[in-house]
Amino acid sequence: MDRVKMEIFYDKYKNTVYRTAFAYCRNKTDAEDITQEVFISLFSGDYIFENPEHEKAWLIRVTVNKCKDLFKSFRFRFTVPLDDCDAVYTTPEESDVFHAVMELPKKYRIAVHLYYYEDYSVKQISEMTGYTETAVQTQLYRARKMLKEKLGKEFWYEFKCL
Amino acid sequence: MNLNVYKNVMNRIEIDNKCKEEIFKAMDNKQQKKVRIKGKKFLLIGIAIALLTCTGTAVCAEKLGVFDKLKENENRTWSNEYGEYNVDKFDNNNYELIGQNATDIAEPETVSGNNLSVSIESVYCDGAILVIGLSGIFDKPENIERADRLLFDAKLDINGNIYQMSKSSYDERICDMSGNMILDENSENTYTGKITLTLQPEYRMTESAETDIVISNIICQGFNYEEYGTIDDEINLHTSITPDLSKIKQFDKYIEEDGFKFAVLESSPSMISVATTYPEWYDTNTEEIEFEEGGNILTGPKYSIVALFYDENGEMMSGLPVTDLPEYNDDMIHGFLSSSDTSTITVKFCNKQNDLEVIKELTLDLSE
Repeated sequence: MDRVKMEIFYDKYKNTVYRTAFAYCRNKTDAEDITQEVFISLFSGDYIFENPEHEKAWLIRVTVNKCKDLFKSFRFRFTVPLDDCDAVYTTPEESDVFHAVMELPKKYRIAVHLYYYEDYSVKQISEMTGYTETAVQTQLYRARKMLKEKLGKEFWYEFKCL
Repeated sequence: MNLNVYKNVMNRIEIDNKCKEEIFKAMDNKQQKKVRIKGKKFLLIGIAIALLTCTGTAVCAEKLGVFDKLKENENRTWSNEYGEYNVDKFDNNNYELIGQNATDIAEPETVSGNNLSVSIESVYCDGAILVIGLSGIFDKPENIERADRLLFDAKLDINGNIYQMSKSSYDERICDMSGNMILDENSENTYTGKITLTLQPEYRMTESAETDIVISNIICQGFNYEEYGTIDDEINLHTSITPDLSKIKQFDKYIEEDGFKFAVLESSPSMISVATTYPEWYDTNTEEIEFEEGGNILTGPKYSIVALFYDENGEMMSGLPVTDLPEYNDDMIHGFLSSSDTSTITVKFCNKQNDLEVIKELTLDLSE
Protein backbone atom coordinates (compact mmCIF):
# COMPACT_ATOMS: atom_id res chain seq x y z
CA MET A 1 0.00 0.00 0.00
CA ASP A 2 1.47 3.38 -0.91
CA ARG A 3 1.88 6.26 1.54
CA VAL A 4 -1.00 8.34 0.15
CA LYS A 5 -3.42 5.44 0.44
CA MET A 6 -2.21 4.73 3.96
CA GLU A 7 -2.83 8.34 4.96
CA ILE A 8 -6.35 8.24 3.51
CA PHE A 9 -7.11 5.00 5.36
CA TYR A 10 -5.69 6.34 8.61
CA ASP A 11 -7.58 9.63 8.53
CA LYS A 12 -10.80 7.87 7.63
CA TYR A 13 -10.74 5.23 10.34
CA LYS A 14 -8.39 6.44 13.08
CA ASN A 15 -11.16 7.43 15.46
CA THR A 16 -13.32 4.38 14.74
CA VAL A 17 -10.41 2.13 15.69
CA TYR A 18 -9.30 4.28 18.63
CA ARG A 19 -12.78 4.63 20.10
CA THR A 20 -13.46 0.90 19.78
CA ALA A 21 -10.16 0.15 21.51
CA PHE A 22 -10.90 2.76 24.18
CA ALA A 23 -14.34 1.24 24.79
CA TYR A 24 -12.66 -2.12 25.40
CA CYS A 25 -9.47 -1.08 27.25
CA ARG A 26 -10.86 1.98 29.03
CA ASN A 27 -7.54 3.76 28.91
CA LYS A 28 -5.74 6.01 26.47
CA THR A 29 -2.34 4.31 26.46
CA ASP A 30 -3.59 0.82 25.62
CA ALA A 31 -6.09 2.21 23.08
CA GLU A 32 -3.27 4.06 21.33
CA ASP A 33 -1.08 0.95 21.29
CA ILE A 34 -3.92 -1.12 19.85
CA THR A 35 -4.63 1.52 17.21
CA GLN A 36 -1.01 1.51 16.13
CA GLU A 37 -0.94 -2.28 15.91
CA VAL A 38 -4.16 -2.39 13.88
CA PHE A 39 -2.96 0.10 11.29
CA ILE A 40 0.47 -1.51 11.05
CA SER A 41 -1.29 -4.86 10.41
CA LEU A 42 -3.43 -3.23 7.76
CA PHE A 43 -0.56 -1.47 6.04
CA SER A 44 1.69 -4.54 6.19
CA GLY A 45 -0.73 -6.89 4.44
CA ASP A 46 -2.11 -6.98 0.93
CA TYR A 47 -5.73 -6.85 1.95
CA ILE A 48 -8.43 -6.38 -0.65
CA PHE A 49 -11.75 -5.06 0.58
CA GLU A 50 -14.99 -5.41 -1.32
CA ASN A 51 -16.36 -2.05 -0.18
CA PRO A 52 -15.99 0.58 2.59
CA GLU A 53 -18.32 -1.38 4.90
CA HIS A 54 -16.09 -4.43 4.55
CA GLU A 55 -12.91 -2.48 5.32
CA LYS A 56 -14.48 -0.82 8.36
CA ALA A 57 -15.83 -4.15 9.66
CA TRP A 58 -12.39 -5.74 9.15
CA LEU A 59 -10.70 -2.97 11.10
CA ILE A 60 -13.16 -3.30 13.98
CA ARG A 61 -12.77 -7.08 14.05
CA VAL A 62 -8.99 -6.80 14.15
CA THR A 63 -9.26 -4.12 16.85
CA VAL A 64 -11.46 -6.31 19.02
CA ASN A 65 -9.13 -9.28 18.56
CA LYS A 66 -6.08 -7.23 19.47
CA CYS A 67 -7.90 -5.95 22.56
CA LYS A 68 -8.69 -9.55 23.53
CA ASP A 69 -5.04 -10.46 22.98
CA LEU A 70 -4.02 -7.69 25.31
CA PHE A 71 -6.10 -9.13 28.09
CA LYS A 72 -5.53 -12.79 27.35
CA SER A 73 -2.42 -13.30 29.45
CA PHE A 74 -2.31 -13.43 33.18
CA ARG A 75 0.97 -11.63 32.89
CA PHE A 76 -0.96 -8.57 31.82
CA ARG A 77 -3.05 -6.46 34.10
CA PHE A 78 -6.68 -7.40 34.20
CA THR A 79 -8.43 -4.54 35.87
CA VAL A 80 -7.69 -1.09 34.61
CA PRO A 81 -9.35 1.92 36.20
CA LEU A 82 -11.15 4.14 33.69
CA ASP A 83 -8.77 6.73 32.34
CA ASP A 84 -11.23 9.30 31.07
CA CYS A 85 -8.78 12.16 30.68
CA ASP A 86 -9.84 12.43 27.04
CA ALA A 87 -13.54 12.48 27.79
CA VAL A 88 -15.26 15.84 27.93
CA TYR A 89 -18.61 16.07 29.68
CA THR A 90 -20.97 18.98 29.20
CA THR A 91 -23.56 17.77 31.69
CA PRO A 92 -23.57 15.53 34.79
CA GLU A 93 -25.79 13.10 32.84
CA GLU A 94 -23.08 12.64 30.24
CA SER A 95 -20.58 11.73 32.93
CA ASP A 96 -23.04 9.33 34.60
CA VAL A 97 -23.95 7.48 31.40
CA PHE A 98 -20.41 7.28 30.08
CA HIS A 99 -19.08 5.96 33.38
CA ALA A 100 -21.94 3.48 33.65
CA VAL A 101 -21.13 2.06 30.20
CA MET A 102 -17.41 2.00 30.96
CA GLU A 103 -18.05 0.10 34.18
CA LEU A 104 -19.78 -2.74 32.34
CA PRO A 105 -17.78 -5.97 31.91
CA LYS A 106 -15.67 -5.66 28.76
CA LYS A 107 -17.71 -8.14 26.71
CA TYR A 108 -20.87 -6.17 27.37
CA ARG A 109 -19.10 -2.87 26.88
CA ILE A 110 -17.88 -3.73 23.40
CA ALA A 111 -21.32 -5.07 22.42
CA VAL A 112 -22.95 -1.84 23.59
CA HIS A 113 -20.36 0.26 21.78
CA LEU A 114 -20.75 -1.57 18.48
CA TYR A 115 -24.56 -1.71 18.72
CA TYR A 116 -25.35 1.80 19.96
CA TYR A 117 -22.34 3.79 18.81
CA GLU A 118 -21.39 2.12 15.53
CA ASP A 119 -24.99 1.06 14.78
CA TYR A 120 -24.10 -2.51 13.87
CA SER A 121 -26.67 -5.29 14.01
CA VAL A 122 -26.42 -8.27 16.36
CA LYS A 123 -25.44 -10.43 13.38
CA GLN A 124 -22.65 -8.05 12.36
CA ILE A 125 -21.37 -7.81 15.94
CA SER A 126 -21.37 -11.58 16.10
CA GLU A 127 -19.19 -11.72 12.98
CA MET A 128 -16.81 -9.09 14.32
CA THR A 129 -16.36 -10.42 17.84
CA GLY A 130 -16.57 -14.15 17.19
CA TYR A 131 -19.40 -14.59 19.68
CA THR A 132 -22.61 -16.29 18.56
CA GLU A 133 -25.63 -14.11 17.83
CA THR A 134 -27.32 -15.53 20.91
CA ALA A 135 -24.30 -14.59 23.02
CA VAL A 136 -24.33 -11.02 21.66
CA GLN A 137 -28.06 -10.73 22.38
CA THR A 138 -27.42 -11.97 25.90
CA GLN A 139 -24.56 -9.51 26.35
CA LEU A 140 -26.79 -6.63 25.24
CA TYR A 141 -29.63 -7.81 27.46
CA ARG A 142 -27.39 -8.06 30.51
CA ALA A 143 -25.76 -4.73 29.70
CA ARG A 144 -29.17 -3.01 29.51
CA LYS A 145 -30.17 -4.62 32.78
CA MET A 146 -27.00 -3.42 34.51
CA LEU A 147 -27.38 0.06 33.05
CA LYS A 148 -30.95 0.19 34.23
CA GLU A 149 -29.83 -0.76 37.74
CA LYS A 150 -27.13 1.90 37.71
CA LEU A 151 -28.98 4.71 35.99
CA GLY A 152 -32.54 4.13 37.08
CA LYS A 153 -35.92 3.69 35.46
CA GLU A 154 -35.80 7.01 33.71
CA PHE A 155 -32.82 5.88 31.72
CA TRP A 156 -34.47 2.53 30.99
CA TYR A 157 -37.58 4.20 29.56
CA GLU A 158 -35.55 6.39 27.23
CA PHE A 159 -33.26 3.51 26.40
CA LYS A 160 -36.13 1.33 25.20
CA CYS A 161 -37.27 4.11 22.92
CA LEU A 162 -33.99 4.19 21.03
CA MET B 1 -31.03 10.45 29.74
CA ASN B 2 -30.24 7.79 27.11
CA LEU B 3 -27.41 6.26 25.17
CA ASN B 4 -27.21 9.18 22.73
CA VAL B 5 -25.38 10.79 25.61
CA TYR B 6 -22.75 8.04 25.36
CA LYS B 7 -22.43 8.82 21.66
CA ASN B 8 -21.90 12.50 22.38
CA VAL B 9 -19.11 11.85 24.86
CA MET B 10 -17.46 9.23 22.62
CA ASN B 11 -17.56 11.61 19.65
CA ARG B 12 -15.35 14.00 21.57
CA ILE B 13 -12.66 11.39 22.24
CA GLU B 14 -9.96 11.69 19.59
CA ILE B 15 -6.67 9.95 19.03
CA ASP B 16 -3.47 11.87 19.67
CA ASN B 17 -1.61 12.99 16.54
CA LYS B 18 1.59 11.41 17.81
CA CYS B 19 0.11 7.96 17.02
CA LYS B 20 0.09 8.74 13.33
CA GLU B 21 3.77 9.64 13.47
CA GLU B 22 4.54 6.40 15.33
CA ILE B 23 2.65 4.28 12.82
CA PHE B 24 4.29 5.81 9.77
CA LYS B 25 7.71 5.71 11.40
CA ALA B 26 7.20 1.98 12.04
CA MET B 27 6.04 1.47 8.46
CA ASP B 28 9.08 3.32 7.09
CA ASN B 29 11.40 1.07 9.12
CA LYS B 30 9.51 -1.99 7.97
CA GLN B 31 9.69 -0.99 4.32
CA GLN B 32 13.43 -0.44 4.58
CA LYS B 33 13.93 -3.86 6.16
CA LYS B 34 11.75 -5.50 3.54
CA VAL B 35 13.64 -3.94 0.67
CA ARG B 36 16.93 -5.15 2.13
CA ILE B 37 15.68 -8.70 2.59
CA LYS B 38 14.01 -8.78 -0.80
CA GLY B 39 17.23 -7.81 -2.50
CA LYS B 40 19.08 -10.67 -0.87
CA LYS B 41 16.84 -13.63 -0.65
CA PHE B 42 13.13 -13.00 -0.56
CA LEU B 43 11.25 -15.49 -2.69
CA LEU B 44 7.57 -16.11 -2.90
CA ILE B 45 6.01 -18.75 -5.08
CA GLY B 46 2.81 -20.66 -5.23
CA ILE B 47 2.77 -24.42 -5.12
CA ALA B 48 -0.23 -26.50 -6.05
CA ILE B 49 -0.97 -29.50 -3.89
CA ALA B 50 -3.75 -31.93 -4.73
CA LEU B 51 -6.69 -32.38 -2.39
CA LEU B 52 -5.58 -34.88 0.19
CA THR B 53 -7.49 -37.14 2.49
CA CYS B 54 -6.32 -38.91 5.60
CA THR B 55 -8.22 -41.15 7.97
CA GLY B 56 -7.32 -42.75 11.25
CA THR B 57 -8.83 -44.19 14.43
CA ALA B 58 -7.72 -43.32 17.94
CA VAL B 59 -6.56 -46.22 20.10
CA CYS B 60 -4.26 -46.49 23.09
CA ALA B 61 -0.51 -46.71 22.60
CA GLU B 62 2.52 -46.26 24.82
CA LYS B 63 4.94 -44.19 22.75
CA LEU B 64 3.86 -40.73 21.76
CA GLY B 65 6.63 -39.43 19.55
CA VAL B 66 4.79 -36.40 18.27
CA PHE B 67 4.29 -34.93 21.73
CA ASP B 68 7.88 -35.78 22.69
CA LYS B 69 9.01 -33.65 19.77
CA LEU B 70 6.63 -30.85 20.70
CA LYS B 71 8.10 -30.93 24.19
CA GLU B 72 11.61 -30.62 22.74
CA ASN B 73 10.46 -27.52 20.89
CA GLU B 74 9.56 -25.83 24.20
CA ASN B 75 13.25 -25.15 24.84
CA ARG B 76 14.51 -25.12 21.26
CA THR B 77 15.86 -21.83 19.99
CA TRP B 78 17.17 -20.22 16.82
CA SER B 79 19.39 -17.20 16.68
CA ASN B 80 20.35 -14.35 14.42
CA GLU B 81 22.60 -11.34 14.81
CA TYR B 82 20.12 -9.73 17.22
CA GLY B 83 19.70 -12.54 19.71
CA GLU B 84 18.28 -15.96 20.52
CA TYR B 85 14.58 -16.77 20.16
CA ASN B 86 12.31 -19.72 20.90
CA VAL B 87 11.13 -21.49 17.75
CA ASP B 88 7.52 -21.47 18.98
CA LYS B 89 7.38 -18.72 21.56
CA PHE B 90 3.59 -18.38 21.66
CA ASP B 91 3.02 -21.99 22.65
CA ASN B 92 2.84 -22.46 26.43
CA ASN B 93 1.24 -25.91 26.45
CA ASN B 94 2.84 -28.53 28.68
CA TYR B 95 3.37 -31.27 26.08
CA GLU B 96 4.97 -33.64 28.58
CA LEU B 97 1.72 -33.95 30.55
CA ILE B 98 -0.44 -33.77 27.43
CA GLY B 99 1.64 -36.47 25.76
CA GLN B 100 1.41 -38.79 28.76
CA ASN B 101 -2.37 -38.57 28.56
CA ALA B 102 -2.86 -38.56 24.80
CA THR B 103 -4.18 -41.34 22.62
CA ASP B 104 -2.04 -42.50 19.76
CA ILE B 105 -3.36 -43.26 16.31
CA ALA B 106 -2.61 -46.96 15.80
CA GLU B 107 -2.06 -46.86 12.07
CA PRO B 108 -2.02 -43.25 11.01
CA GLU B 109 -2.72 -42.81 7.35
CA THR B 110 -0.34 -40.50 5.61
CA VAL B 111 -1.67 -38.09 3.04
CA SER B 112 0.77 -37.43 0.23
CA GLY B 113 0.61 -34.62 -2.27
CA ASN B 114 3.12 -33.05 -4.61
CA ASN B 115 5.68 -32.25 -1.96
CA LEU B 116 3.88 -32.54 1.35
CA SER B 117 2.48 -35.40 3.36
CA VAL B 118 0.65 -35.08 6.68
CA SER B 119 -0.75 -37.50 9.22
CA ILE B 120 -2.51 -37.31 12.59
CA GLU B 121 -0.24 -39.11 15.00
CA SER B 122 -1.89 -38.58 18.37
CA VAL B 123 -4.88 -36.88 19.98
CA TYR B 124 -5.44 -35.49 23.47
CA CYS B 125 -8.98 -34.57 24.50
CA ASP B 126 -10.37 -34.03 28.00
CA GLY B 127 -13.63 -32.57 26.71
CA ALA B 128 -12.56 -28.97 27.33
CA ILE B 129 -9.29 -28.86 25.39
CA LEU B 130 -8.41 -30.76 22.24
CA VAL B 131 -4.83 -31.14 21.02
CA ILE B 132 -4.19 -32.89 17.70
CA GLY B 133 -0.58 -33.94 17.14
CA LEU B 134 0.56 -33.87 13.50
CA SER B 135 3.60 -35.08 11.64
CA GLY B 136 4.57 -34.12 8.13
CA ILE B 137 7.16 -34.45 5.42
CA PHE B 138 7.70 -31.54 3.07
CA ASP B 139 10.28 -31.86 0.30
CA LYS B 140 10.45 -28.22 -0.52
CA PRO B 141 11.27 -27.27 -4.06
CA GLU B 142 14.61 -25.57 -4.68
CA ASN B 143 12.99 -22.21 -5.21
CA ILE B 144 11.68 -22.14 -1.62
CA GLU B 145 14.70 -21.12 0.37
CA ARG B 146 13.32 -21.81 3.85
CA ALA B 147 10.35 -23.54 5.40
CA ASP B 148 11.23 -23.71 9.10
CA ARG B 149 7.62 -23.23 10.10
CA LEU B 150 4.41 -24.10 8.23
CA LEU B 151 1.49 -21.83 9.07
CA PHE B 152 -2.01 -22.65 7.93
CA ASP B 153 -5.71 -21.96 8.18
CA ALA B 154 -7.67 -24.79 9.78
CA LYS B 155 -11.30 -25.76 10.09
CA LEU B 156 -12.58 -28.45 12.47
CA ASP B 157 -16.01 -30.01 12.14
CA ILE B 158 -16.78 -31.85 15.39
CA ASN B 159 -20.17 -33.47 15.16
CA GLY B 160 -21.46 -30.50 13.15
CA ASN B 161 -19.91 -27.78 15.32
CA ILE B 162 -17.50 -25.80 13.18
CA TYR B 163 -14.36 -24.15 14.58
CA GLN B 164 -11.99 -22.14 12.41
CA MET B 165 -8.70 -20.34 12.76
CA SER B 166 -6.70 -18.18 10.42
CA LYS B 167 -2.98 -18.72 10.11
CA SER B 168 -2.11 -15.57 11.97
CA SER B 169 -4.23 -16.72 14.90
CA TYR B 170 -3.70 -13.21 16.20
CA ASP B 171 -5.30 -10.82 13.74
CA GLU B 172 -8.44 -12.64 12.76
CA ARG B 173 -9.10 -15.13 15.47
CA ILE B 174 -12.73 -16.19 15.67
CA CYS B 175 -12.26 -18.92 18.26
CA ASP B 176 -9.58 -20.15 20.62
CA MET B 177 -7.78 -22.35 18.18
CA SER B 178 -4.20 -22.28 17.04
CA GLY B 179 -1.65 -24.48 15.32
CA ASN B 180 1.41 -24.79 13.14
CA MET B 181 4.07 -27.30 12.07
CA ILE B 182 7.76 -26.85 12.80
CA LEU B 183 10.76 -28.37 11.06
CA ASP B 184 12.31 -31.04 13.27
CA GLU B 185 15.72 -30.31 14.70
CA ASN B 186 18.56 -31.49 12.46
CA SER B 187 16.10 -32.49 9.77
CA GLU B 188 15.78 -31.29 6.20
CA ASN B 189 12.17 -32.26 5.59
CA THR B 190 10.29 -33.74 8.59
CA TYR B 191 7.85 -31.61 10.60
CA THR B 192 5.96 -31.89 13.87
CA GLY B 193 2.91 -29.82 14.63
CA LYS B 194 -0.36 -29.47 16.42
CA ILE B 195 -3.80 -27.95 16.33
CA THR B 196 -5.19 -26.93 19.74
CA LEU B 197 -8.77 -25.97 20.45
CA THR B 198 -10.28 -24.69 23.70
CA LEU B 199 -14.01 -25.29 23.89
CA GLN B 200 -16.48 -23.02 25.62
CA PRO B 201 -18.43 -24.75 28.42
CA GLU B 202 -21.57 -25.16 26.31
CA TYR B 203 -19.57 -26.89 23.56
CA ARG B 204 -17.46 -29.18 25.70
CA MET B 205 -17.29 -32.69 24.29
CA THR B 206 -18.94 -35.41 26.33
CA GLU B 207 -18.93 -38.30 23.88
CA SER B 208 -17.05 -39.64 20.86
CA ALA B 209 -17.18 -37.51 17.76
CA GLU B 210 -16.23 -37.97 14.14
CA THR B 211 -14.00 -35.03 13.35
CA ASP B 212 -13.09 -33.57 9.97
CA ILE B 213 -10.08 -31.30 9.76
CA VAL B 214 -9.30 -29.08 6.79
CA ILE B 215 -5.86 -27.48 6.56
CA SER B 216 -5.47 -24.85 3.87
CA ASN B 217 -3.56 -21.75 2.74
CA ILE B 218 -0.25 -23.10 3.99
CA ILE B 219 2.63 -20.65 4.22
CA CYS B 220 6.31 -21.55 4.41
CA GLN B 221 7.86 -19.26 6.99
CA GLY B 222 11.41 -18.98 8.24
CA PHE B 223 12.21 -18.82 11.93
CA ASN B 224 13.01 -15.19 11.10
CA TYR B 225 9.26 -14.71 10.39
CA GLU B 226 9.85 -13.99 6.69
CA GLU B 227 7.61 -15.83 4.23
CA TYR B 228 9.32 -17.87 1.52
CA GLY B 229 6.47 -19.55 -0.32
CA THR B 230 2.90 -20.81 -0.20
CA ILE B 231 1.05 -24.07 -0.66
CA ASP B 232 -2.32 -23.23 -2.10
CA ASP B 233 -4.46 -26.35 -1.92
CA GLU B 234 -6.08 -27.91 1.11
CA ILE B 235 -5.59 -31.10 3.09
CA ASN B 236 -8.58 -33.01 4.44
CA LEU B 237 -8.02 -35.17 7.49
CA HIS B 238 -10.43 -37.24 9.50
CA THR B 239 -10.28 -38.91 12.88
CA SER B 240 -12.52 -40.20 15.60
CA ILE B 241 -12.07 -38.47 18.96
CA THR B 242 -13.13 -39.84 22.33
CA PRO B 243 -12.88 -37.36 25.20
CA ASP B 244 -11.63 -38.65 28.55
CA LEU B 245 -13.68 -36.58 30.97
CA SER B 246 -11.94 -38.16 33.97
CA LYS B 247 -8.84 -36.11 33.15
CA ILE B 248 -10.52 -32.98 34.52
CA LYS B 249 -10.32 -32.63 38.29
CA GLN B 250 -12.67 -30.19 39.96
CA PHE B 251 -11.23 -28.11 42.81
CA ASP B 252 -13.40 -25.17 43.72
CA LYS B 253 -10.80 -24.02 46.27
CA TYR B 254 -10.30 -20.41 47.16
CA ILE B 255 -8.50 -18.12 49.57
CA GLU B 256 -9.36 -14.50 50.34
CA GLU B 257 -7.43 -11.78 52.17
CA ASP B 258 -7.93 -8.01 52.28
CA GLY B 259 -10.23 -8.08 49.26
CA PHE B 260 -7.83 -10.14 47.12
CA LYS B 261 -9.30 -13.51 46.19
CA PHE B 262 -7.66 -16.45 44.43
CA ALA B 263 -9.46 -19.62 43.34
CA VAL B 264 -8.46 -22.81 41.56
CA LEU B 265 -11.44 -24.30 39.79
CA GLU B 266 -10.28 -27.15 37.55
CA SER B 267 -7.11 -28.91 36.55
CA SER B 268 -6.28 -31.37 33.81
CA PRO B 269 -3.15 -32.45 31.87
CA SER B 270 -3.86 -29.56 29.50
CA MET B 271 -4.67 -26.65 31.83
CA ILE B 272 -5.33 -25.27 35.29
CA SER B 273 -8.36 -23.02 35.52
CA VAL B 274 -7.91 -20.18 38.03
CA ALA B 275 -9.70 -17.00 38.97
CA THR B 276 -8.80 -13.85 40.89
CA THR B 277 -10.55 -10.82 42.33
CA TYR B 278 -9.00 -7.48 43.18
CA PRO B 279 -10.19 -5.38 46.11
CA GLU B 280 -12.70 -2.61 45.57
CA TRP B 281 -10.18 0.10 46.43
CA TYR B 282 -8.23 -0.82 43.30
CA ASP B 283 -11.16 -0.07 41.02
CA THR B 284 -12.01 3.17 42.72
CA ASN B 285 -8.48 4.45 43.38
CA THR B 286 -7.73 7.64 41.47
CA GLU B 287 -4.21 8.36 42.75
CA GLU B 288 -1.66 9.19 40.09
CA ILE B 289 2.11 9.12 39.83
CA GLU B 290 4.60 10.78 37.53
CA PHE B 291 7.12 8.72 35.59
CA GLU B 292 9.64 9.25 32.84
CA GLU B 293 9.27 7.70 29.41
CA GLY B 294 11.40 8.61 26.42
CA GLY B 295 12.62 11.75 28.11
CA ASN B 296 9.11 12.95 28.88
CA ILE B 297 7.45 13.21 32.27
CA LEU B 298 4.09 11.43 32.09
CA THR B 299 1.38 10.77 34.62
CA GLY B 300 -0.43 7.50 35.14
CA PRO B 301 -2.40 5.55 37.72
CA LYS B 302 -0.49 4.76 40.90
CA TYR B 303 -1.60 1.14 40.77
CA SER B 304 -1.68 -1.22 37.82
CA ILE B 305 -1.95 -4.67 39.33
CA VAL B 306 -0.86 -7.82 37.57
CA ALA B 307 -1.39 -11.36 38.90
CA LEU B 308 1.66 -13.62 38.57
CA PHE B 309 1.45 -17.33 39.34
CA TYR B 310 4.15 -19.60 40.74
CA ASP B 311 4.42 -23.36 41.25
CA GLU B 312 5.71 -25.21 44.33
CA ASN B 313 9.33 -24.63 43.22
CA GLY B 314 8.83 -20.91 42.83
CA GLU B 315 8.89 -21.16 39.02
CA MET B 316 6.56 -18.77 37.24
CA MET B 317 3.65 -20.53 35.54
CA SER B 318 2.65 -19.55 32.01
CA GLY B 319 -0.81 -18.46 31.01
CA LEU B 320 -2.52 -20.14 28.07
CA PRO B 321 -3.57 -17.69 25.38
CA VAL B 322 -7.27 -18.30 25.76
CA THR B 323 -9.20 -15.23 24.70
CA ASP B 324 -12.83 -16.23 24.98
CA LEU B 325 -12.79 -17.24 28.59
CA PRO B 326 -15.82 -19.11 29.87
CA GLU B 327 -18.49 -16.94 31.45
CA TYR B 328 -19.17 -17.60 35.10
CA ASN B 329 -21.79 -16.15 37.36
CA ASP B 330 -19.33 -14.34 39.57
CA ASP B 331 -17.23 -11.20 39.49
CA MET B 332 -13.89 -12.99 39.31
CA ILE B 333 -11.33 -12.75 36.52
CA HIS B 334 -10.86 -16.18 34.99
CA GLY B 335 -7.95 -17.61 33.08
CA PHE B 336 -6.07 -20.77 32.17
CA LEU B 337 -2.55 -21.61 33.26
CA SER B 338 -0.39 -24.14 31.51
CA SER B 339 -0.82 -27.57 33.11
CA SER B 340 1.47 -28.67 35.92
CA ASP B 341 1.68 -31.36 38.58
CA THR B 342 2.57 -28.82 41.25
CA SER B 343 1.03 -29.35 44.70
CA THR B 344 0.64 -25.64 45.42
CA ILE B 345 0.00 -22.49 43.42
CA THR B 346 1.00 -19.09 44.70
CA VAL B 347 -0.38 -15.91 43.20
CA LYS B 348 1.47 -12.65 43.66
CA PHE B 349 -0.51 -9.47 43.03
CA CYS B 350 2.17 -7.03 41.86
CA ASN B 351 2.06 -3.35 41.01
CA LYS B 352 3.47 -2.75 37.53
CA GLN B 353 3.78 0.93 38.31
CA ASN B 354 6.28 0.27 41.11
CA ASP B 355 8.76 -2.34 39.84
CA LEU B 356 6.34 -5.21 40.42
CA GLU B 357 6.11 -4.54 44.15
CA VAL B 358 4.21 -7.45 45.70
CA ILE B 359 1.01 -6.09 47.22
CA LYS B 360 -0.50 -9.42 48.24
CA GLU B 361 0.62 -13.04 48.06
CA LEU B 362 -1.80 -15.96 48.40
CA THR B 363 -1.08 -19.70 48.23
CA LEU B 364 -3.48 -22.57 47.66
CA ASP B 365 -2.58 -26.17 48.51
CA LEU B 366 -3.93 -28.46 45.81
CA SER B 367 -2.92 -31.69 47.52
CA GLU B 368 -5.38 -31.46 50.41
